[in-house]
Amino acid sequence: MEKRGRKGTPSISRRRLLSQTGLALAGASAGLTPAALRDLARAVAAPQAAPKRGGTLTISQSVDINTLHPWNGTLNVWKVTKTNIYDQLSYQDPTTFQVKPKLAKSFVWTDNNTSLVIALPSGVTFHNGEKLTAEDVKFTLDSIRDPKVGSWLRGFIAPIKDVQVLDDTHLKIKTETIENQLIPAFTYVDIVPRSLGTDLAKKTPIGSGPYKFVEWIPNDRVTLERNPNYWNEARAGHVDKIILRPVTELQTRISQLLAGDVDLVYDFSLQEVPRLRADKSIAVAVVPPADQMFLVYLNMRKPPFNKVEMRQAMGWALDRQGFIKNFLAGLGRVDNSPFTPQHWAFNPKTENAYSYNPDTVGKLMEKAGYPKGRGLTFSFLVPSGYPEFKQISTLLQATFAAAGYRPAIEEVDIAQWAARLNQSKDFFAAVDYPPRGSTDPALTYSAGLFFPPVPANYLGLTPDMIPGYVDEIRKGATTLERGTRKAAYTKVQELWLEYLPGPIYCHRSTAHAHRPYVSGFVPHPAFQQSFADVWLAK
Amino acid sequence: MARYLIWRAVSVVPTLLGITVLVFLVTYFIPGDPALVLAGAEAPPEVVASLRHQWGLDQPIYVRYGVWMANIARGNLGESYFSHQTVLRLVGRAFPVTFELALLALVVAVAIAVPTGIISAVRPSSWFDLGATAVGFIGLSIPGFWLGIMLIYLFGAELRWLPAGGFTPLSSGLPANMRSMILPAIALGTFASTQLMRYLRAGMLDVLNADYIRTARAKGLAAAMVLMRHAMRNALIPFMTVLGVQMGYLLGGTVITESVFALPGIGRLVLNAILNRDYQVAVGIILLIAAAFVLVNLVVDLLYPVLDPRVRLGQATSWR
Repeated sequence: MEKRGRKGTPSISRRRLLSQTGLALAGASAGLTPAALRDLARAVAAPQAAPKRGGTLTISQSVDINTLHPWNGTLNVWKVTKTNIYDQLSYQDPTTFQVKPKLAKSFVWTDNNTSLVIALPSGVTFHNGEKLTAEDVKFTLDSIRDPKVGSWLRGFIAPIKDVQVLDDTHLKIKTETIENQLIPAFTYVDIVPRSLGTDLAKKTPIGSGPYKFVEWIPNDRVTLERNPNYWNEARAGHVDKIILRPVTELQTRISQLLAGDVDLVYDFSLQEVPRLRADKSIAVAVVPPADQMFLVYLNMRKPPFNKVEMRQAMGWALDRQGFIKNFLAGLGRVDNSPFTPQHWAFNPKTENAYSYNPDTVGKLMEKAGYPKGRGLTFSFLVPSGYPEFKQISTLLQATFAAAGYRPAIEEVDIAQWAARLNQSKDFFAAVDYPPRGSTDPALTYSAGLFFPPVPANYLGLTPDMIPGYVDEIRKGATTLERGTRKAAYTKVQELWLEYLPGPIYCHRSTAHAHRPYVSGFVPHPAFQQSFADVWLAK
Repeated sequence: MARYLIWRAVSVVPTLLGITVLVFLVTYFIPGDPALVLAGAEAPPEVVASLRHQWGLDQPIYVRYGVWMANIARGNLGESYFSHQTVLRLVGRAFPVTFELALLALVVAVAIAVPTGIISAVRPSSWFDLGATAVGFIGLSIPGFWLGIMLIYLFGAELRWLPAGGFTPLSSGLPANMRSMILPAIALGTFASTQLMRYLRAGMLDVLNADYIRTARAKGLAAAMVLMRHAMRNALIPFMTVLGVQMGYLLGGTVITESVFALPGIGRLVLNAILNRDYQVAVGIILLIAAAFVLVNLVVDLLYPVLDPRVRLGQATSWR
C-alpha cells in the first residue's frame, strides 16, 4: 500500500493505531495466514502524509444497485452506497467489530429498562439544507415499522413499541424490556428527512451523510459528491467524487484495476487473492472471516430432513478444511457456530463438534432409515452466479454418493431460488452465506434463519422443536449483564448443534483490491462501508 | 410500392401482438417475484405482500396485460419496479450504446468478411481460402466472452492501449467514445464476420460459375470489371439479406459483449430486468427489440430493388 518515505519519522494517529492493532488481533484470532495478516496490516497502515482532499475515487462492484429506497434494498452494493449518503444512529467499527454510536451521541436505557433514550447532536443538516431533529429519527423508525412501507428492516426493530420525541435532540424509544438487538439494528437504519415522505424509491436520496447523491445511470454508474457541510469533521469525506461502477464480469473488473481504469475493486472472489497479492502494483485488503457464514438450510417440513439423524449426517458430510483450502484460497475458518473465537459469545465447545467423517454419514443415514441411501430422496437447490454454493453442494453430493445416494443439484437463477426458499418452500437443502456473525448475538439470533417465530424461517423450525431454545435466545437478548448473556448464548449454540436445523460449516473472508495510492481504506465486515476516510495519495 | 408498404406495416401488428402475449405469459410463469428480489429473502411476508400490492402484482394476469396494453396504446411502456425510471427513458439511454456497438461490430464484420470472402471465392482451395476457412471455423468456435476477456486483458491490462471495459459517451468526445468501443466491436464483429465471410464466399462461388460471367469473360472484360461489376453485384443481394438479419441479431444479441465490457446497453438492461423479474422493463424491451428486428428486415426488403432491378415490390415479377 502506501510506501514509507525515506525521510521523516513515521506518524500514526491514535485512531489508526487502534484500528491496526484491533484488526491484526482479530485476524490472528480468526486464524488468518501470515499473508492475510500482512494484507490486513497494510490495509490500515498509517499514511505518511496528512490525508489530502480532492480527486475522484472510482470503484467497481459486481452488480448494479436495484433501488434508491434507503429502507427497501437489500443488496450489499446498495449498503455500500447508502452508508455514505445517510447517517445511521450507530455503526459497527470495521476493525473491532464493536457497535458504537454514530449519529447518536449516546444510548441510555431508562424507565426500569423499558425505554431507550437517544441523544442527538445539534447542528446536523440534511443535504437539502433541512435541520435534522429527533422528529426525523422518529419519522424514520415509525416508517420502517409500518408494513405498508415494505421495509425488510421491520423485523430488526420489531421490539419497538413507540417512539417519543422529547425535544429536538432527544427521543425515547419504548420497549417492553431491554432489547439488545436495537442498537446494532440501528446500524442499518438510514435517517431520512420527514419532509420527503415514505415514497422514497422515486426520489433523489437525501441524507445527512458525508457524501451527496448525484445520479444513478442504471448499469453504468452511481455518482456521489462530497458533502462540504458535513456536521462531523472527524468523519467528513476526503475525495471530491465517488463513482461506483457495476461490472459483472470478474476478469474485466480485475483488468480494469490492473489498467488503472478503476481505483478499487470492491468484493471479489477469494480465489483471485493469491494472484493479486503477487502483483506489486495492487494492494489487497482482506476482512477476517467473522461475519458471513456458509451453512445449509435443511427443510424440516418434510422427509428426509425432518429426521435429526439426516440433519446431523449433513453436518458430518463436508470437508470444510478442503473447501476453504481449495475454493476460498485458505481465507476462511472452520466453524460450527455463527461466531468465531474473537466474539465474546463464542462457545468453545462448538469447535470440531462436527467435522468431515463419511463413515458417520453412512451410519446416520442407516439410523434414519435410509441404509445405503435406499428410499432417500433429496436435492440441493443452488442459485446460479454463486460458485461457492455449488462447490459446497458438489462436495456434499460426493460424500452422500459414496454413502450410497447421489442427490441432484438443481441450479436456478437467484430470483427463483429466493422464491422457492421463502414462498413455495419447495426445496430440500440449499447452501447460503448469511451475514451478521460479527455483530451482537441479539441481532444475529433475531434473523429468520435462527429465530423460529419469524415467518421467514426457511427451515420450518418452530419454537417447540428445540425445547428451551427460544427462551435462551430471549434471555440473552433482554439483559445487559454480560455473564448471563454469555451463558444464554452458550446454551443456544449447544442446542443448535444438538438438533442441527441447519449445519454451519465455516466463515469466509471478503477481499477487496485497490491501487497503492488509495489510502485509508478499511473494509467493513458487513458491507456497511464508509469511504469517508479514503483519500488519494497521488 | 405504397400498397406493399402498407401491407408490410399492417402485417407486423399481429406479429407484435403475438409477441406481447407470449412474453407476458412467459414472465408470468417464470418462478420468482420482484418484490422478494427487492425486499430480500429475509423480508416478512406482509412486507413482500405490500410491495406486490404497490406494483399491482396481486392483480390477475389478464388485468395486468390489459393495463399494460392500454398504456402502450398511449405510448407508455411502463416503468421499472426498481429504478422507477420509465422504460422509454431506460431504453433511450441504453439503445444508442447498443446501436453503436452493433453498427461498429457490423463494420468490423464487413471489413473482415467482404475481402476475405471475395478472395476465397476467386481463389477456391488456395492456401488463402483454406486458411480463411480454418480461421473462420475457429472464429465460430471461440466463445464471445472468452475473446472479450482476452482482448481486455491484452489491450487493456497489459498493453494499456485501450480502456479495459466501460463506456465513454459520445458527449465526452468522439475519440474517447471510439476508444471505449473498439474492443467490444472487435469481439462482437469477429464472430459475425465468420458467418458473413462464409456466406459471401458461397454466394460468390455460385455467381462466378454462372454462364453470364463466362460470357463476360469471353467478351474480353477485365477480371476486375467482371468481379466488381457483374459478380459482386449479384452476390451482394443475398448477402444484404444476411447483413440485415445479422444487424438484427447484433442488436438483440449483445448481452454477453455488454456484460464482459461493462457497457450500459440494451443487452445488460434486459438481462438485469429478467434476473430481477422487472417485468415491465423486460417485456417493454423485448417488444422494442422485436419491433426493431421487424423494421430492419423491412428496410432490407426495400433495398432489394436498388440492388436488383428485376425486383419490383408489390408487383408480380415477370421473367422473360
